[in-house]
Amino acid sequence: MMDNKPEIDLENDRLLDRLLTEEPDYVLSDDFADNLIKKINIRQALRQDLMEFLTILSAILGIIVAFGGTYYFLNKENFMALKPFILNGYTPVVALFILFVFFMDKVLLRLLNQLKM
Amino acid sequence: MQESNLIDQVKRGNTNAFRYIVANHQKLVAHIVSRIVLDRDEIQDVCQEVFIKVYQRINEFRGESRFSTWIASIAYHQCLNHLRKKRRLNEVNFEDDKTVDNLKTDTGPERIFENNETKRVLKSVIESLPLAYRTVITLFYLEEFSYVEIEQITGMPEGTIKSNLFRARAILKEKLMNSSLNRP
Repeated sequence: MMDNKPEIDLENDRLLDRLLTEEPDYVLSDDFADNLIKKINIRQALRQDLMEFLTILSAILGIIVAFGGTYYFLNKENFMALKPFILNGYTPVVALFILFVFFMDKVLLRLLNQLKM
Repeated sequence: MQESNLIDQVKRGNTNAFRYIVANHQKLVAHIVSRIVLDRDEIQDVCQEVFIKVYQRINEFRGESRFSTWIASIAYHQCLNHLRKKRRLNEVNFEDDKTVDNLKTDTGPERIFENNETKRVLKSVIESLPLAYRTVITLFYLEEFSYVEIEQITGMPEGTIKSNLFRARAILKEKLMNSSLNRP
């Protein structure tokens, strides 16, 4: 057995070199790149839609604040009279509903369409 | 098309050019991820995350290293993040290596030395090595990165890389020697 040791050692070295350079048996699926590009496109579109939604939303809010602010400085008494109309009743519900529909249209429906494709 | 042209195209948002980059480097990423993450159900998802990061951060690539080195670095760090998230970073170490013992009792030493069986056993031994050893042997032997490149990818000092390579090889060789000396 002792005589065989260097030979076995050399054989093991060779085997080890071969094994270490052998590719792992895991292979990615054939459609890996296609699925990946699809995922990237969906993420990009979602980000773009969200940005568009936020831009339009902040523009609308900006206009409301600008008009509200101007009206407040020009006609303080009448502005305070509007307060119950804005905070009570259906106004906040309607505003939230419009916001939700706007969000559905600009972001969610587009995302669902992308996912279907 | 040259790789630098493809990179420029991707920087301008061309996802079709990125498809070529994925095709050219998916083997490299799959090798690194499969050797580090090990769980076959998770490899594909981690590979996807690697390439999404590559796409998002491609503007940061300045050509100071090879593109494959840069991608390998992202793959390595994504794997570490994944393992950290799963709190499995230290789950495997070579001291409690049951794989070889099990196979010895299952098959007998003479069967172990048959070619395919040996490969299977040693692949199991590689998978049971500590993460740092698995990483350096994959990058050095399989992907043929230089010490400097492995340093760029992993952040390990060159001396640590060399000693990890030496130790990993010594462990694997010892397992092989034990198997061969046990032969009748």
